[in-house]
Amino acid sequence: MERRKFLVRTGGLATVTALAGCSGNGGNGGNGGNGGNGGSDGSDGGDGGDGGDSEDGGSTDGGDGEDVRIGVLVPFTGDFSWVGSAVMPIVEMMAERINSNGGINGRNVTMIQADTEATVDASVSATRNLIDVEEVHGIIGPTSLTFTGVTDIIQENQVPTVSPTAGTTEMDDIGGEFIFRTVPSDSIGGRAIAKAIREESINGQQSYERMGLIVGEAPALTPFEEPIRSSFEEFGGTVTDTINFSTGQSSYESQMSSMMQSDPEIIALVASPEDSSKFFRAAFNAGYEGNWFLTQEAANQSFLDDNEQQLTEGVFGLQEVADPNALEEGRLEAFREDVMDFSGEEPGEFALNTYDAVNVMAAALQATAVAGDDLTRANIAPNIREVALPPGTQVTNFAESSSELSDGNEIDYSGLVGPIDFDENGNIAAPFGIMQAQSGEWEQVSLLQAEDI
Amino acid sequence: MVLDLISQFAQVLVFGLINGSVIAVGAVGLTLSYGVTRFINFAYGEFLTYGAFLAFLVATVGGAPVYVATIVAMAGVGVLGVVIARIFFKPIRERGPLPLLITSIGVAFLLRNLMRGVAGTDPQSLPVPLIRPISIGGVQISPVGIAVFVVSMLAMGAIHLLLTRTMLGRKMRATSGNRQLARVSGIDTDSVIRRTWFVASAAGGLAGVLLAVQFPPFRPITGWRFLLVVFAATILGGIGKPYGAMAGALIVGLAMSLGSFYVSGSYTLAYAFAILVAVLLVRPEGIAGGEI
Repeated sequence: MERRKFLVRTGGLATVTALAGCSGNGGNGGNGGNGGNGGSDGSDGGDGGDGGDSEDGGSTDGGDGEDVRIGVLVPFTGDFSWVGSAVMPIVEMMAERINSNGGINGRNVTMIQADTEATVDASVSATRNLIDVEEVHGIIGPTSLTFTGVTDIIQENQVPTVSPTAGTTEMDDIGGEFIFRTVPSDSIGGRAIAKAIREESINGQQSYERMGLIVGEAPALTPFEEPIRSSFEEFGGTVTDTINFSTGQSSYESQMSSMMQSDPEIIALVASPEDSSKFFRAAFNAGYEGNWFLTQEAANQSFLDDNEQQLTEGVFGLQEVADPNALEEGRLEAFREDVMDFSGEEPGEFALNTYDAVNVMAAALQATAVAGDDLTRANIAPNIREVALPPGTQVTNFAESSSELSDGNEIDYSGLVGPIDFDENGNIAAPFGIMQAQSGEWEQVSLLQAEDI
Repeated sequence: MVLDLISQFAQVLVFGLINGSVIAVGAVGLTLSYGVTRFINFAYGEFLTYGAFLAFLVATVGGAPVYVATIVAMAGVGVLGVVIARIFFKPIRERGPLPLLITSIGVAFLLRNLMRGVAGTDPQSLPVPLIRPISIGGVQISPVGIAVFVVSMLAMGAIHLLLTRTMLGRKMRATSGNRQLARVSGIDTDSVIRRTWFVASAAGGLAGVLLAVQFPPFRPITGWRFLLVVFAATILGGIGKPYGAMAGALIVGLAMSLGSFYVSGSYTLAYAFAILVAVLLVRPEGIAGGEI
């Protein structure tokens, strides 16, 4: 429950741990079916129909009366069910708001839950179900955990997809046409960590020269390793040792002892909160006296709440921060109040990212509809970029998007996470906060703007 | 330099022994229940989980000291084991080991997801104070680790006494050796099996608490994950043989610790199983001569 605590500055975890493997080729997408084998028994020859999606440019247009369907593809059960519990209330609130503002050109929006269970297998079948059975117009998701498994299916079926959670570097250069995200890439996060460790002016403590690197072996964690290491060396530091560990073990005392032999001044730890706790204890028991730097994965309030202050005091962490403009203009606080009214709870992790993802998706749908085009996936996808990037009237919510678009104006959506200006690969730039644990709370010691990283 | 290497080695040995002592309690419990019931109980890992959570409940909500919570947890999980056995395993006891084994996998899922439903998936820790490690000749030993090791050894000793010095222990060994023969010689085997379930499950509960104390935090999946290591120790020792399980557990603990330090931290579990395979190649019946 603590996880759902809302930190005004946080976008929360960009990435989450996974046990699931990441087979890159998780689905065969909209391939042409097998054509039927026309076998001699005569009963087996008719099965070739499925898979025409690619040719007709992404299916799905139910016509005027039907609801517009958006799939929500995140884990709702299993160890990562908290992602679903954090994302879903925001999505539902947004749907209600879109519908009360006239919907997508008069058609109501329906959100359809699709449970990835944080495993590749389940996410592939959930995605297939969204595309083939539910015939969704777009997808909010997936997470880094299952990202690699479903990208082929999404691209082959040309499904407009905006992920509020997938920071994985796997996505750095495959999006931009159908896949976008409202969360910055881990490669930027990794670089921010290296810079913050290296420069006293950023961390306010010292210019660390000798850094150890400990990285869990999970699809959402390993992408951090290379950016942190190469950036740290580029900034003139020395990586004393790099240790990879298989996640979910009962203890990491041997790994910690092994790391301490290289005598680092600070250790960048890329691990789930649970494994991070175990490392902190192992370090305490082994007499480690250096500092730590945590990724967004573990640098959240619940991590501090779950561990003794003695272990966490002075530790650094990376957090995504909200757009300073959104804070200044009061949009952030208004959002928080809306969520409290709607769900009775504080907005959780990924709340801001989800808000932006749904707004961009809805604006793209609206743009397609008011232009008089059929609401097919192929028609919708190009509009994601159109509504998010300048030129156009700046808008910050669906009501504004909808009315500007209906008036025939171009729009430029600006969100809670940042200006949401997608690059050619569907990535966004966003600032990061360098945090330090002080008396059981994360305090921001400096702000790294996207252009400074 | 040489001294450094020696103290490093000693350090890793200490980690391995403490880890092994936690495994040992679980492995002895598992092997006891196998000896009498003759099937591999996949739901055993859940007994560890329930032990940890029950202790957590008693210690945090009830405000009891951890040692009281431990005793309550052991008793609670012991009773749970007896109830589970009565509901799920007794009715199909005569059907052979395979239906029992499959049932136990189902029971494991049931128990684990029940715990998830009740306790959520967030990691939890017992209120154990953080105490600075003691340094002996360059080897850091945490007082909590020492306590865990001592409790584990006491538990082993208690089980040894139970098996060798009590009537129940003799009956357990007799039932384990040959149930039919035990029955015709006047032993109430049903009662022995029930009590064995209690002892074995309580040992599982204790292992869960020790795991939670030594390696926090824990979650509903913790016991299931740890079960793999417990299995390795049990089979290494020779299944159904309590003393073998103790030896097997210490070997597995040391192998994981040494391997993670000297070879690579990526394959912790693999070292446990590499040792298992190596021993079984030479001695297929396990260290103490079990039956698989």
